[in-house]
Amino acid sequence: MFSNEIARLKTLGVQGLLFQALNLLTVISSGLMMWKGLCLFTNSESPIVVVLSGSMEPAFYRGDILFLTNPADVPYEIGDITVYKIPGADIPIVHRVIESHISNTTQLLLTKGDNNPGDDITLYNGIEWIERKHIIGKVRGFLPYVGYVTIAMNDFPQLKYALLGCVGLVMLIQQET
Amino acid sequence: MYSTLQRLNHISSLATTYVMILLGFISIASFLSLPSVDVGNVEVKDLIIQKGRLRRWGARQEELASLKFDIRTDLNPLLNSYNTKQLFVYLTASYEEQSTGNSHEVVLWDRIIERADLKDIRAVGNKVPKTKSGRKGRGNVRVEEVKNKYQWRNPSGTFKDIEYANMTLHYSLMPYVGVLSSGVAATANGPVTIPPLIKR
Repeated sequence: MFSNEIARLKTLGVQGLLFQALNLLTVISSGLMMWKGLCLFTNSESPIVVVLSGSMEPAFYRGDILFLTNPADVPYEIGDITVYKIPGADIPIVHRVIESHISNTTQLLLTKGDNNPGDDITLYNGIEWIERKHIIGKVRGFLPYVGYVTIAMNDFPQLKYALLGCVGLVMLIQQET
Repeated sequence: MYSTLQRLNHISSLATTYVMILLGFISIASFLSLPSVDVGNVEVKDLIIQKGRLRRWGARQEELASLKFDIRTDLNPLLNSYNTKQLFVYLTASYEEQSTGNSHEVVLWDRIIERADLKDIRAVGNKVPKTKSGRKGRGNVRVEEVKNKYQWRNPSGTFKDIEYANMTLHYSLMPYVGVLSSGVAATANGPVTIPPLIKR
């Protein structure tokens, strides 16, 4: 079954194999550079997020992709949909700001999911308000369904490894023509 | 030369690219062609301040404001725009504390209007004129004598320091794909004065 591929690997030799590995590394590192560049540009630690819960339905469903920005000197406004991460919780939450209290030093915010009956105070792990430092960004753009791929990969880790393995193998075997 | 797998790969990558470009065009075009809304009217009635507690375990007693209000505005142009999935309308109060200058903004009431909603958004009022077809009236926001949905409190626990508040109804538009936008849907005629605390 794989005799052809193995034969091709043999003809490549060590140098060819190393060259292919280098190609693979270039692809990975350029992807990483683009992501980090986007992080710098939007001033957000994660400018693209996938919705994981249904608390903002019917606006955002599980698997929708959101694009965030986090301009440094602009205060968050009421009605903005923010993505925040409470220290100690591992999943960022996408909810709308319903209260904003600005004093000359801080901005205190309270959020609520459009589809939830009450505000988010129970999600805050004992904090009464969230502040700028908890917020990853404000939602600016929306792309439906595409993020479901990552949800599927998280739910079935085997899928992730299988996909990564396949991509790696193809990159190694592939011959430039 | 070309295997079936290669052809399939080529076609699917081409299709993905073109769909992404198309979606990009759609989101840009719909954002640029977003219709404007006539700013409607919010009328505040029965604004009172009294002592109360938040609906929360272990809440201390503090001053809470409660009110009733009417809203009339027409959001049909926004709903008829082709890239509108949902409108989220919310009534906010914004006010400043006189001595500290701290500015506050709170949501008092909100409502989701989906594109699929065929009804008017109406709460208690029953003298609402009937529209000819159900689809036409879905963006008419007619709200009468509605109480605030969220409790209105001030972090300092008192409203003594506040002279007046500005009431505004905002909308936030969720597209099927593309850029989120928001704006003002209705305003009150001038700021609303905050009355003194009712003592019992």
